[in-house]
Amino acid sequence: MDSDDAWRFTTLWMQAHPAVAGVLWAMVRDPHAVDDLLQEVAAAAFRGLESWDPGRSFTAWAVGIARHKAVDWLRRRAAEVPLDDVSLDRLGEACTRCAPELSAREIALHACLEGLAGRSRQALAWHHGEDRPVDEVAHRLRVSVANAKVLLFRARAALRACIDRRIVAERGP
Amino acid sequence: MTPAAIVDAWLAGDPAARAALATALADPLQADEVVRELHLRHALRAALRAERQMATRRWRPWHALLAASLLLACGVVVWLATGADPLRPTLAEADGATIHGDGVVRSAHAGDTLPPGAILEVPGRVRLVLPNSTAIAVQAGRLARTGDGFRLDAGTCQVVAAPQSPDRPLRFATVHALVEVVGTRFTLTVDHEATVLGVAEGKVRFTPRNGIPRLVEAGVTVSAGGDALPTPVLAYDFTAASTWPVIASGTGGDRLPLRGNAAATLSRDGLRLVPGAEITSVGLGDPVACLKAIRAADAVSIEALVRIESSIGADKLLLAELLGFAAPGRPADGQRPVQLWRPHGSTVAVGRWSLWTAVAAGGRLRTHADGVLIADEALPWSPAAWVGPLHVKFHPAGLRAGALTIAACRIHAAALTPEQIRLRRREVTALLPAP
Repeated sequence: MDSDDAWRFTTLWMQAHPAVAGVLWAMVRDPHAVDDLLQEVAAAAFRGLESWDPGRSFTAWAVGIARHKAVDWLRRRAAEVPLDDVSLDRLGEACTRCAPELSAREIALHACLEGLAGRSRQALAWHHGEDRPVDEVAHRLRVSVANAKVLLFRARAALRACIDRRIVAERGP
Repeated sequence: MTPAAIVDAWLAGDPAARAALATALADPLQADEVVRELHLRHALRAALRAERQMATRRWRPWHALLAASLLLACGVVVWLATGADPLRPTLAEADGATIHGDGVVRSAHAGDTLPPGAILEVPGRVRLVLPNSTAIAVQAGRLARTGDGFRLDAGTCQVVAAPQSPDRPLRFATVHALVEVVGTRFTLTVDHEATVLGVAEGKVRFTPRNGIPRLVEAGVTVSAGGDALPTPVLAYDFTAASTWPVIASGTGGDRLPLRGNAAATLSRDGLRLVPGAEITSVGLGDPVACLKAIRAADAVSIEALVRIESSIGADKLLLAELLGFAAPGRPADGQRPVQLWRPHGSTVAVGRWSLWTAVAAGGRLRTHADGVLIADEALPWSPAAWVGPLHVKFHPAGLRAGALTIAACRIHAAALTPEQIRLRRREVTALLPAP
């Protein structure tokens, strides 16, 4: 593999990365494991780039690697694969289908986060930014666990709505 | 249930969500919503963690002073109000240990408690127990009591921690790092060079000094260096022929660590590269683990012992590149390889070994030649945001004739300080190939 290949891989991986992350999140449900598996998938794809058929979607190929890596990870922990093959196929297809829009959604998310403040923002920062469990977030906010869950759910819903608005606005009339 | 609610329940481990998720995935429109929600979780975590890192960098000494003063004041108030030591570590055995405190040194005995400010000096091995059943074994070391935990100055301590209150974790500080425990089993070792944490069970929050906090899981060992040189995550000594069996045999394949064999030779003087040749870490060491370590530390330092074999024009550049890939969301950062060395041609001494060091951390890229800072520029990316494999490439670009010889290369998951770089320069003479 020469520099051009590495460069090409960079571009392809940047496009596939959000879709691969989606599959891993759904399968392993552990953010730390997702971080590690993303590295492993990228390394495997990098090493195996010559076996990728450019006639096929790179994202779909990388999603396939991610699926195998996640299954290996689950088996090493004697955990069952949480979804059946049909659902995993559908998940992979949906991730591949949505891949082109996910990077734009991520950029919109950064802008939307700037408009979020107060307890919602703090709850998101603790739970999603620092991986603190919901009961700890509830304890820190002095609310019940159920209320903390609702607060987090509504904060994410507000972000989703903001992202959707920005995406629509960027597409124009 | 909406796709968002399904994903929420699914990620929370609700078994009832499996059927709902399968149903949602069967409908393409709902499946797309599921993917968007999964992606939101991933992107949200990445964005908030990146913000946190930036906030850590913005931390100013006066903030620290103010916070320390407030904490101290609060501590005094709490102490006066309760008049009790919630930790009350008690020696289960003494084994020749001594307790230092209030200017007095006395022999330790089983049943003694270690009050805040006291230091336990342990020549052999002793065991401390806390009222909540947490057990701490100290071996050949020095353990000091602090207000909210302990400071390990030297030696090793093994901890079996009972569950702690989430808002009051048990803390172990060392000169290099802070370890916060909420109920787990781990080993902490500190010497003058580094602090090493090995987690046997549960999770521990580990914060290297001047670094970002991370949760360390069972089975994982991490370290944080002090003033001495951190252990490199990848190190190549090119003079060791055994490192390069592939070159000698002339075979290729995935395990080949050197690309462009025809343009490179290995001798006892080192690895000789001509323009176009490059080294990649693929197949040598574990580039994934290396990149993970760099990402966790949010810093990388690369050093190489090199010799330029012929003069190059003042307009030429000598490039070494570390290929990482920045996370999406900031596309401009991720579309090109990261160039870690950019020494100007005219600064390169010909025919002489020199140690080049590039340090990427805190939004700056600093390049040193033989311990002297020769370039300091803004860096638009953060090593913590890297994804993808690690690919190291030395590319003597601009060398129309001549060659570059490399005797050794090290990659550290840390930002080497100027003092450490100078220390390394003193050490590196031992690496120079024999004349």
